[in-house]
Amino acid sequence: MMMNCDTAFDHMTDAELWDSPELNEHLSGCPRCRQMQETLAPALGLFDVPSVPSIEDEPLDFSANEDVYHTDHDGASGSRPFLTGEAVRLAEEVAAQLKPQRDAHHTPARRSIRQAVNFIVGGLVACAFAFLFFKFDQRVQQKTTAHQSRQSASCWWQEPSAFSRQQEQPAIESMILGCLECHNCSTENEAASKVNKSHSTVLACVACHQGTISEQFSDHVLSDADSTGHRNKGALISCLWPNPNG
Amino acid sequence: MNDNGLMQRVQAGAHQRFDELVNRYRSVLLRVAESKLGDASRAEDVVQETFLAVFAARQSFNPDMSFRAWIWTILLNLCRRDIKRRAVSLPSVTSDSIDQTHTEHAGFAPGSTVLKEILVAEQNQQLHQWLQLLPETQADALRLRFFAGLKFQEIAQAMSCSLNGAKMRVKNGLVKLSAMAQQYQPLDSEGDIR
Repeated sequence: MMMNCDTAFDHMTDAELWDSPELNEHLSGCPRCRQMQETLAPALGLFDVPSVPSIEDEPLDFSANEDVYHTDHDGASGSRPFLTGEAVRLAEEVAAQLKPQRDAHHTPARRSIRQAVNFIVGGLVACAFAFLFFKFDQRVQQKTTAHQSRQSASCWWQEPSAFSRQQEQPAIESMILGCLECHNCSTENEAASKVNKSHSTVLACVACHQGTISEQFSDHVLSDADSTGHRNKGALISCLWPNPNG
Repeated sequence: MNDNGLMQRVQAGAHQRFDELVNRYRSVLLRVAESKLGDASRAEDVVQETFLAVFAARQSFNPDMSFRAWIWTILLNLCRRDIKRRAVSLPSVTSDSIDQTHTEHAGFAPGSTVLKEILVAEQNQQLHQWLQLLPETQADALRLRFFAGLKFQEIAQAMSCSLNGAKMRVKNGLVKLSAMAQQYQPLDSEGDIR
């Protein structure tokens, strides 16, 4: 398999692989890397020169014990091997900072970014859960309130004489809640299964009494219809008020 | 035995095994330190201190980490410390001192002409001077790659940067060095401009 451009750069800058057949094969088919090699050639040639011979000194004797060195806190250079406490601390700190090789690609900077991203994502997830919980709780409270209201409402269908057109807002709302008692869209209401085809009656009530009922109550009833999908089913039926039996 | 294995033996008390690590790393550490400090004797001191620090802190070595990355990180830091101290106490390194350093130690290989060796020494000296002109991170990355022969992953560890960061430092350093080399026209063996 042909190497990729990243590996080609590794080979180009490797003293042993710079002339490998794999690299040459890649270069023959990759004008971009060929251009790169030509650009870098003057510098690569500089590193190709023989290295400066190292100075051969007496080998250090580490075989006895730690006392072979002496600590020089002034950092002054002497004829004997010297070691500063600072250098030892540095070596210990570097050892503590260097991650195991399997995690080598996680540099300190990258670790910080990863931690920040984790923190932000965690925060967003927590906010999302809190929002969903709040909405759910609000919904449960609405249903509970509606259910409690309905239980105390009178039925206009059964007792039409108990209501009049001129009634004030609380009575009208009570009447609509009475309607909801039977025409409720909720499946948990047993009566709903019998009369759910007439659920839009409730919407008709709300349509007429929009001005006399509170906005909050209107929203509550309409959102209840929305949640079960009944609001979009056909047109509102005609108002039953003048003749409930019609 | 690999470096980590040797270091574990040293940790266990076989101190004489540390000599093997010294033999493996001494020349490359010296080469990088000389290039960075521009002074052979200072480089020698820093390399010695690096080995001594590694030995003294041997119990903090974790076999799961790279010994190479550890020792190179220590060397680079000690070189930086040395440069700072010199900057405070002494005038900065001059090109004359670099000349002297590399002329003194650029011994001539048997069988080669003196002039050729002078040209090689000149090229070495020029390279070290150009490296001094590069941003420190790029110059260090080049030293670790070409003088020490480290892999990019090891350079990344020694320099506390990402793998891509290490590659970019080497690449950008090479591009700048190439530009410097193209502007530079040394004399050839005939005394003419090449």
